[in-house]
Amino acid sequence: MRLVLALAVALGVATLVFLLMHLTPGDPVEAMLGESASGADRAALRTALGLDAPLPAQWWRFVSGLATGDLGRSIGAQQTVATLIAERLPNTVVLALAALAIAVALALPLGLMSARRIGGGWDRATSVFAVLGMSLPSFVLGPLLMMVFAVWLGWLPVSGSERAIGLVLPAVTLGLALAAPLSRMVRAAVVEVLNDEFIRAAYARGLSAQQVLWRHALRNAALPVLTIIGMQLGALLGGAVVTEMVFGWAGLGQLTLEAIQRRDYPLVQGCVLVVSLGYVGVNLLTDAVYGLVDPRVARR
Amino acid sequence: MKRARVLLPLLVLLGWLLCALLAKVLPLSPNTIDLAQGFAPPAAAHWLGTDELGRSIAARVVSGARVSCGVGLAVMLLSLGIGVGIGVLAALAGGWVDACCSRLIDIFMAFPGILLAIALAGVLGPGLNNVVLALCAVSWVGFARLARAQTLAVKARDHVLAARALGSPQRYVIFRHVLPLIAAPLLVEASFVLAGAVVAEAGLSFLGLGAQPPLASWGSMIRQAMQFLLVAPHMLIGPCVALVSLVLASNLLGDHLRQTRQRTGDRA
Repeated sequence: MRLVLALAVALGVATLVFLLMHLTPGDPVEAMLGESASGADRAALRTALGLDAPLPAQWWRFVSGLATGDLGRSIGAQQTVATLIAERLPNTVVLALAALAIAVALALPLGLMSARRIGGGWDRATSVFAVLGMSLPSFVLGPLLMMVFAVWLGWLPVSGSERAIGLVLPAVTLGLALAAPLSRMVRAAVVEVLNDEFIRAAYARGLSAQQVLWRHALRNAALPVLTIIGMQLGALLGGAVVTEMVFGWAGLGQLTLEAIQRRDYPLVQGCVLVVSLGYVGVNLLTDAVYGLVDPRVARR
Repeated sequence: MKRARVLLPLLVLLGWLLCALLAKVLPLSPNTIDLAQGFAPPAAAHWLGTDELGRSIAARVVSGARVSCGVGLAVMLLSLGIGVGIGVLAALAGGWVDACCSRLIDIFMAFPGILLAIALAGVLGPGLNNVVLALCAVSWVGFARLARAQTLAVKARDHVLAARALGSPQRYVIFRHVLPLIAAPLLVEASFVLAGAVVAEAGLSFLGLGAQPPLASWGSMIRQAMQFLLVAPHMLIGPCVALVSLVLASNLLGDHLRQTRQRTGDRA
């Protein structure tokens, strides 16, 4: 059932991307060839792109091509869109996963600590960290980190995706931005669980605060936390576009931007589509993981 | 202390609004080029130093507030109008109208917002009008979802039923009996959307898709500063501090509004 629903949303997403590219004002052919192009050249390109067909027919070609993994051909680079994306996708996935790892490693302990004593010192410090983190966009944090660690201290390279160490700064930039809201969500989820009866029962059995927190509270708070992580992963993919630009990280985000600058419409369309579908997929996966973490969901 | 937590963000917000309103009137020259003064570090003449063309960064930061506040407010108000309109109508109409609107909301929610905005701004072409358009296309969804859920909750209340039974026209019911009750959560969302729109505008300008030179925008100033990071690191400070202070103030205010609402909600 969920799969069907996700497929429907995916189709909707594909349609929206398609409409976005076809209904926005401005003629892609004119944009690509410039105003001085001859009428024959324009007509040729129009036919080559399939833009002379009626809109529903174009839509059908697009969606049916999608089902077989065909995203069309790039206009600038003489390659298929799928090849270009496949080249860059691993870099973005690595960056997103590294950022996610950093975010979870930061947010879990911070959220737990502040949930233990609401209004305490840790709680207040975490909330300051969270609001700050949410208000520091990656194109502010990135250059600042770059200035300190790459320019002044010289510990890390300024940019580039050739070596593994180049991953550190972009991943930290992206990870901190994610850790901020995540720590608040962890806190809220744990606070809710801590008010439950079974927590009191666990204390009554003589378990230590540590045991109760890590074994009982965290596991039960995992569900809402997982949802948030799933939802934030989409924001992460979007944020990666900007972060990749800051650090010259050769991922999907940079490709999208290059495509926009070159007015390579099929490539823009492909990039947006792949990221959006990835997001839909991640959310579906989050749903599937629920059952593993919390057997009550599977039984329901 | 408690007071300061509201007053300070409010003052910062008002301060930037004032800058935005007065930027054109004040004797500033954000676009005056003076190559001999290029890359000057902060000094008495130029508080925040100058950029590669010798333009005063302080003047550019102040006039950049115009872009940030203008785009932020425009996006907030427009998407509030669109989103609330769709959400309230969907909830009140019910049936297939509601089903269609809900699916549409689902699909828009399935997009990573900033990516959609980047693609839209890219396709529409650079310029602030297109930035507003692209950001509205992304921001209305949150309002619509919220307004729909809230209206569904309010619609079954006695006073709405009573108004209906008395034969009040739909428009009167919406403006008099529904909107006032759902305004508070929408206000909270609005302050976060404002912060989000300011960040997004700066982000798009940073990517070169927003404000075009010589117009000063905090995002495009950060982009410039990045190119001269090794030569003139001071160029980074002004726009970064300005942007973060505005966004932080807006987020803090939203946080405060939400907490106040929760507290009064508990009491009710």
